[in-house]
Amino acid sequence: MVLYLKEFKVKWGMVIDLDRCTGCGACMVACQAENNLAPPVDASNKRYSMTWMLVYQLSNKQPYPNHDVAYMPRPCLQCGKPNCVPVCPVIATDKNQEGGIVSMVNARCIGCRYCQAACPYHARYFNWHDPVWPEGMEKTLTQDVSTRPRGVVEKCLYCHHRFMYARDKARIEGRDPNALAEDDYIPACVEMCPTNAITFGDLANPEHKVHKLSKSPYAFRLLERLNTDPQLYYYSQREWVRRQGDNFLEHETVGGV
Amino acid sequence: MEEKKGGSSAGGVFLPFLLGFVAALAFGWWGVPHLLYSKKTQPLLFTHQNHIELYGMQCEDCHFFRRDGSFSGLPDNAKCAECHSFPLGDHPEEIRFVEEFYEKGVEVPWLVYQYQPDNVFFSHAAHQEFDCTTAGCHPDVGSSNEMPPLFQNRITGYSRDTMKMKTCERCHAEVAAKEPERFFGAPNACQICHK
Amino acid sequence: MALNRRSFLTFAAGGVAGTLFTPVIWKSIDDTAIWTQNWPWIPRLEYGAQAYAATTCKLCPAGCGLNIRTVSGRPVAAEGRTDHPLSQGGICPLGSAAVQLLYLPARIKGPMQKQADGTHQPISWDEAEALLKEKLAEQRGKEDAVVCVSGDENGTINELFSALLGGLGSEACYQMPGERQVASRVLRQGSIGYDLENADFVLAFGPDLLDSWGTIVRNKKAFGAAHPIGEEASAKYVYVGPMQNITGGAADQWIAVAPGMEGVLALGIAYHLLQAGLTAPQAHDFVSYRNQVINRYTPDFVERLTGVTPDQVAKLAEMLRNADRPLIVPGSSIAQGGGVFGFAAALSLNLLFNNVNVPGGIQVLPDLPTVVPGAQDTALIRARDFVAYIQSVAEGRTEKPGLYMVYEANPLFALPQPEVTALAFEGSYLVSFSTFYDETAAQADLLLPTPTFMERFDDVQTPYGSGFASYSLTRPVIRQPIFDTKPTGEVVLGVAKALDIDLGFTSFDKVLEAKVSALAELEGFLVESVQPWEARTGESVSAVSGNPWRTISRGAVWASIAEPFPTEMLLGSTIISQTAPPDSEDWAFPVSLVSMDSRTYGSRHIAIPPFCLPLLHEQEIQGDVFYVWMNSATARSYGLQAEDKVQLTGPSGSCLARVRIFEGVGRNMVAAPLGFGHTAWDKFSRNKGDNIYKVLTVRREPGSNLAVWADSRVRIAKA
Repeated sequence: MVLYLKEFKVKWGMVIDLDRCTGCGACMVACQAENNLAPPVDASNKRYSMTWMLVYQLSNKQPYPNHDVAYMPRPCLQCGKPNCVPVCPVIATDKNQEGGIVSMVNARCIGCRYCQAACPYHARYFNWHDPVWPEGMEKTLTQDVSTRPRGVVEKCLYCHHRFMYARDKARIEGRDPNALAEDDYIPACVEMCPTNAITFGDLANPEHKVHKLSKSPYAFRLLERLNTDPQLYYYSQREWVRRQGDNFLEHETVGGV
Repeated sequence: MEEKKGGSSAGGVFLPFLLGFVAALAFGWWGVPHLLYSKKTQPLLFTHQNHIELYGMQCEDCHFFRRDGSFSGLPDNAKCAECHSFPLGDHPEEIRFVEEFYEKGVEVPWLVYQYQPDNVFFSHAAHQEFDCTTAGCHPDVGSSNEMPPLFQNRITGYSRDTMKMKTCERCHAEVAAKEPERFFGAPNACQICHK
Repeated sequence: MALNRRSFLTFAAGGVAGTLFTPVIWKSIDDTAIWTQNWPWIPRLEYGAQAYAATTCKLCPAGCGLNIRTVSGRPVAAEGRTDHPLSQGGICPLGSAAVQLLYLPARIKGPMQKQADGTHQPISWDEAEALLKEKLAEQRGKEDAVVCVSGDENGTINELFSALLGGLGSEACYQMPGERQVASRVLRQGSIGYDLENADFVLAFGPDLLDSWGTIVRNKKAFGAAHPIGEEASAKYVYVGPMQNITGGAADQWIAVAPGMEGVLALGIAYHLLQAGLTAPQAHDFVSYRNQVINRYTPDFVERLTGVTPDQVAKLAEMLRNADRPLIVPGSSIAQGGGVFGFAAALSLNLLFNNVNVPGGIQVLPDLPTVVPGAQDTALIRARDFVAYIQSVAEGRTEKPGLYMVYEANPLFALPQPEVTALAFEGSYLVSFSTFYDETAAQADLLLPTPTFMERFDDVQTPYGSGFASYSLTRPVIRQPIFDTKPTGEVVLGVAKALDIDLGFTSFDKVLEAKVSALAELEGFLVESVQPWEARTGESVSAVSGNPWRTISRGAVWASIAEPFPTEMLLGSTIISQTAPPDSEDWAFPVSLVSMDSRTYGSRHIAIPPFCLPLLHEQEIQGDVFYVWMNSATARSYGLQAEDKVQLTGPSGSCLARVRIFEGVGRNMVAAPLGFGHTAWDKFSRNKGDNIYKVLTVRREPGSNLAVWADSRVRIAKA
């Protein structure tokens, strides 16, 4: 087990503006296409659905007409202290590469699902079945992400392949692969979002937008008190949305100015 | 019952044991590989040395880095057809290329000696500083007009020469020992090479 | 050494010992482990050079630019296009799933003919085109015996259809219903545009701007740009509509109003604006408008019809007055079936703010010139009421046509009262050009499948809802269509030639080239670094010089912000008074039906794509049963609870569903999604939920006589 507590110089992270997400799900579809997920025939059973990126619907639970709704896209939160890493018996998942993306090697996974149980955000998905593509649709597989057989766990990797390609492009152009510009590497969901609700970048780099946004009083993280230290921040100017980020007591205030 | 002599008794055990031992060694080191690997030849004969020495080509003309940083790998029909869209000479292999592959729109199914599984990501751009032929990754096909056969493992379908993970790991560790900052302390972080 | 059991055993022992000094044991375990990772039924990746092909999407009328990523020429993913003003890098969930549609099992793989037993058998293109010619020739000369209905609102191909029909003696060229039918009652020439980007207050009366109305991705980009994260919002979006759909949920404020009543609220706001002294001197009918509004649309009247309190109405009026550049967007919450009343009433507010043809306001956009000789005027085709026609045929008031041609549309599913549509089609020869085996294709006598937009040349002219005139090409991403399909443009040109009708072109590419060179008649520019809405506020752009075919055929987008013609301004007081809704309660059908349209459910002619299925959550569909949504008060008043099985009954049909309690639905309303209940297509979309079009009922709006159904009513009871 490697020191997942080490401080990374680069921390790829996101800030998702929940006041701007409209819940359309374009990010979910883009993720499936980008990461070679198989098209499901019946996706209504959420226990079998493979949705690395999943948009939840939040409600302020007020009756009509005071009802307010918000949508929360949830990819893997790439925790700073991930629960899933120390429980893996074969180190199929680890957090050791500069950038802080929690890695997942599907071939090494033995399918014990201990990581799936440990993740408090339900961000890990198990292949209960072999993926099936209708005849011909396997021709739309990208060359960037391996196909997974049944019996292994998979999860969002912040389109790690795009990170690798950005580094290669920098090398060819004579730039330093360890000093990528802010828009060199963008995951598919961030790129496709039609309202620009997701901002992506290096949380540790003061020149990247996410750095400042993550420090905003409107920014919060899910289940902060579990101490998972996620690299994914949510942002909302609505207090009821921020309150849903953890199990707060009535009297506790939640962010804001 | 006759008493057996002690010496021949010991030789009676030792010899079969030795024979079995040697037979197993021979079978394990010679017999199994012979059975396990099927010998495959490339679908076409490509004369690397001629193309370089006689036709003035260089490696990068067919094996190059694209603008987005990816490596072109083995050339496709379109690349060969830049010169060979029609036979330039009367070499039978060239005619085969034009008639059996290019004109029919069928890509030449070249065999890859270093074919890696789908879950492996290898970046040629990151390894630019190593020489293609002397770093121990690829056979030196450039200096010959013959192409070595591909020994394909009948069980796994991979080539005998496909590099195993430990070779990559060893080199990464060696480089990291010399230049610690190169991998930021994690020379064998999983996702560097896996996808 | 003797050959006995001992020597055999020691030989074997030697063998085992020797094996331990060979790599055999380790290698066989390792190889077996690798073998278990290589199941042959799991597809392997194919590697190659990655490239992008810029094109324009035709899956819905929004006309967004798409970048199709290819690997070795094979399309693998659809992404947004940063250089297209209607995409700006963004994409919707339907567009994102476009590439997988290439291999949908429901694709029609070649021309087919219906047999006596109802199944379709493949035929060759020669046979199919000969059959089409024969059937069209049979109808020649008979007035309006050939009907064409197109679901492609924006393509030049419609000109070919109308010219072909003209040559056969028919003027019956229709489009599937949308907002254009209504808009054309208010603006006879050209179309209405909405400059969202430059507005600082957007008030939508019905239109689901951010999910299913108009130029969807462009609207979302405008919304996103107006609400930058961590900064002050530069525009406020308020949604007046029956439920917290995507737009209602994302907007800064949602005001619930039943479908069909949006116009009443608009005039209630006008009441306050007029009281505050706003005028529209440029409108000829200002005085009659003012009198009508002040006399009828008093706060009490508005509250009675819409449920919106006088305070709320006054507040809305105040917000509008405090804005610098308010924009009021009229329309229907499902972008179809709305009435003229609501449209004209909401639109009239813009005139009170004098925002026509100014940045941030309503724009009058020109129609692009027609290039096919003999084609009907676009405005005429747009104004035709297809649903009224269908109803008339089904009821026997209009003579049944001999032949229907259906293009990029699914009328046997996506029109209100499908049984009536089926009656109207029964007995006529039905030709479908559909790419997919949809409900209409399943009934069609002849199938002449067109390839998907990624496999053909096509174009998109100014989509409805845009803020500027535009033109961009749809270009094929792969050289040869995957299946034995033929672009309908080529088929139409071919059959016209066979019928001795001269359409003036030999191939569809030439039609598009002619369209591009005709753009020179208008003042336009190629969108490069300056966006059209930026040009409206003064950024300079260089006009197009010469023939832009070269750049446009490579993906460039043409746009124009020129005002086409001086427009006579009317507040629409006559229309408004004639079409005002009756003040009555419908006790037989007490609940207001709020249908929901979303790109997550596909589009009017595309069923839910496979990759959109995970987007539907547990409270939208469970197995094959879907949910209808209502708030808890509504549920209580009808004795319903969450998860109850219910039947929604309208005057002409019924649907089965389960109840979902969702507080974002207005009082006494039930929300139901469109696009479910398919009976054709394939396992991905078939038999999921029920078809809400069955409970949408058509009535004729008084005064305009337009077929309307967005304000349908239903009964709801436990099933």
